[in-house]
Amino acid sequence: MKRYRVFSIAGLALALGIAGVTAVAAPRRVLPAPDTSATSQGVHIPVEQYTLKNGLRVMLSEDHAAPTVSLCLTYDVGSRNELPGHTGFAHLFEHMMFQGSENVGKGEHLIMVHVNGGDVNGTTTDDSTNYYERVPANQLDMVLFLESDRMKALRITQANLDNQRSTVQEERRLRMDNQPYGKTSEIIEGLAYDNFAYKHSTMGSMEDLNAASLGDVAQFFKTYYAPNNAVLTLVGDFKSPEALAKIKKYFEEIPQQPAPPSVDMTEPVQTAERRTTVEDSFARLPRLDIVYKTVPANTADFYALDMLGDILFSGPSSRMYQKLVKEKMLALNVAGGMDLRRGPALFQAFALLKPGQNAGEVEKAIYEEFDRVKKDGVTPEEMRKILIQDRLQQAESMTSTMSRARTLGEYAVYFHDPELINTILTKYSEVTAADIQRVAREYLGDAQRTVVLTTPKAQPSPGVL
Amino acid sequence: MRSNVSFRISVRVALTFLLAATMTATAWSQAPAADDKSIPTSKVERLNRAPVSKDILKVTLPRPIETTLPNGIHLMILEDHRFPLVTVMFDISGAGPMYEPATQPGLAGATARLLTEGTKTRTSKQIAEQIDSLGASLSASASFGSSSAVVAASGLSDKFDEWFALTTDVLLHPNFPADEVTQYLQRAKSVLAQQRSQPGFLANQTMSRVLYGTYPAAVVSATPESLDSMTPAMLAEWHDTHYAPQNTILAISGDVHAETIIPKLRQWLAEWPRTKEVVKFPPGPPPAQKEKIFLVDRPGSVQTTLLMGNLAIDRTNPDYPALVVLNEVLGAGSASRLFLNLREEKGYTYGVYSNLIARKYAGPWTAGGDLRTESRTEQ
Repeated sequence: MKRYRVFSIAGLALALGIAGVTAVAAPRRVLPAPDTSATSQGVHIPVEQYTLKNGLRVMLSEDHAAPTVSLCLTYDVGSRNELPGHTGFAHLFEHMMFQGSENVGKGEHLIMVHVNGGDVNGTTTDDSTNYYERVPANQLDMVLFLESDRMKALRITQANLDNQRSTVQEERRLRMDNQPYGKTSEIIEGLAYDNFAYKHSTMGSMEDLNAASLGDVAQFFKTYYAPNNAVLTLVGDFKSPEALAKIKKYFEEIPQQPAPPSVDMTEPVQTAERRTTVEDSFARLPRLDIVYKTVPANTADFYALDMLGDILFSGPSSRMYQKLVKEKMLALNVAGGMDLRRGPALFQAFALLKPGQNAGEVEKAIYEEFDRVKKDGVTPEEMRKILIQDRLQQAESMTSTMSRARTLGEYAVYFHDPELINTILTKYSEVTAADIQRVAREYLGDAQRTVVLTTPKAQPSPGVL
Repeated sequence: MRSNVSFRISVRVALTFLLAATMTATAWSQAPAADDKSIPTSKVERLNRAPVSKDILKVTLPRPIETTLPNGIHLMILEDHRFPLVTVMFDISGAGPMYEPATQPGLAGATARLLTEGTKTRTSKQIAEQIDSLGASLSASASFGSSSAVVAASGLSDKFDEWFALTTDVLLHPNFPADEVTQYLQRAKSVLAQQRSQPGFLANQTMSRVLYGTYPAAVVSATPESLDSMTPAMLAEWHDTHYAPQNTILAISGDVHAETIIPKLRQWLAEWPRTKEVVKFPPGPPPAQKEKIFLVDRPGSVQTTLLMGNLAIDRTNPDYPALVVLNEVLGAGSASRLFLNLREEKGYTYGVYSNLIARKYAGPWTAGGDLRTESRTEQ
């Protein structure tokens, strides 16, 4: 289940909430009874779903363990919606959203949340953009006001655009141009995908960012930042009828817009292996990346591929770790598995090599492990192991209200199925060993792979500090 | 211990030599996760139209149950039944890098890492298999700058007895197999090289050395030489000498019932005998030197990592809460003054922050961030 998100740009790693606090005067030894029911099989999250008159989808999940609320607005727009010449736009726009709206001053959103005891951020991926706050429970009106005001009436000015463009370019330098392997993801996606949607990186190019005009931004806002194109998720310490009334008060009058154009995510069949080697000025160790295009997330084959990825890569007893790192000592570390996408997702394999290691040897060893599955399948014990690990990860990911809010939003936008948060373990338990063997044969073929080797650039001899 | 002196360290594009690294445990120049949407205070426009509640909510934090086991382990249990999870942590004071001989940086860390690679009754592979099959995770580490080694495990509560037994086994009965030790040391040497490519590590390392001089906290990584000289016997000796129950805290939180597991823990941990080992914390770091600027060249760098600071307080200093608040206002996060004021129209930086470290010994207060190379001199 571990989503191997090499390629997404996240504003934050998923924040895990701190242990709950009681909000009563008398100290208690234990925390109050949960709204989530902790059974030994998994955790059940209660979710109520509504749709407002203007198409805004609303999901509410009460949890009174701590006097906080987590709010998440997930918009159905990501870098996959961008056209050639406009790369980096969805992400740039995410920055614009914090520069002020009709009733919220420039920079005020962030300050207000912070000085009132909350935290706030946003993330843009290929597939969606979200904005989220976690605040004390008595500030629900404040965050609803802030989010609704910018959905309704974002202030779009040349000065804001120029300032945020500059910030985004600096972010590109920090994350991609100044770190070892910073550009590797961009290169992998550029080579593996043919369809422009996923082929270009979410961060975008400097040229396109420089060319973004005010007209572009205004049009983008009108098209994608509409209530009918968004999902609002609220998790935490509130009463649903009261919260729903407030949400309607702030959001229901925002006018609907025509549905945005859909995106064709079709990838032509790949008929030959693709490979490239990249020199990296900052890397000290060679890194091998191998990817295969497969299927969208939340499909039957996706769950089989995900389990295959975990059997091969997840945990110290996984096949790849034991074989490549421990037994043959070909790599310092390995990782891999499925990433989570609405379009064709990538099955990934990654290895960090020792200096001077022959990458061809490592590649060969990886393919040998794939072949072993294709030929002999996987064992019931391996499957049982993965299912229990999935149970652990599911429980761990649900401890934070913010994590739940973001996940519910993602499931609603990607799959129109927020209840997936409660049913996902069943999907894994339905996968058979035969399924896993089949998907290995079907998707991990020689002609279907893309291979990128990132090598350290030769350095002048080091001095001593 | 306070000092009026500050050090500035700048990593920039230039000539000659090259150092490489990853973030250290102290990570003084590490930015909080990207929170970059704010603007300079002078430009923030407060319309004050959003409704804000003036109430401050009252919360009562839960308290753990505490007791001491016969062999001296200090036990703390915090029950939390909302999720079927339990987290366990052994904190073993005296087993951390602060006590390493100066000639053996990395010994404490290597010992900790090797605990999970073999015990008297289990091979590395068996440990890995069993942990994964139980739906648990298990790790042991000893970070530079720390006085403790930490053995941590977490997992599903319905398997607690089994994975706790595994945790105890690696803590008490490691056997440091020769081939595992060799493998680990080789991997560690490669990782050292990789660390040195990262600007954050270079800044941290230089800052540690200039602030702490000969004090153990100056050391932030092993060296190829120290790794080459390590043997299984040395690791076993470090474990025998420095892992002792009377210096250990065991913290457990999650879906457990104290009245059920305390008797079990007494039984399971009874085989760990008290020793005579007393932890003698090294006296505080020497006074800071006069102001200095250090430059670390990183050819090809498109950004400059700037780090400045001086020694501040230790954790028990009564000024600690005030300094935490000060740090919050000045530089912790995107509503802070440093952050807002350095984000001018020119977009100097993706983020600049300050950080307060207060440990058993005086840690530094530092400020810095990653800046556009051209803007460096204007800071």
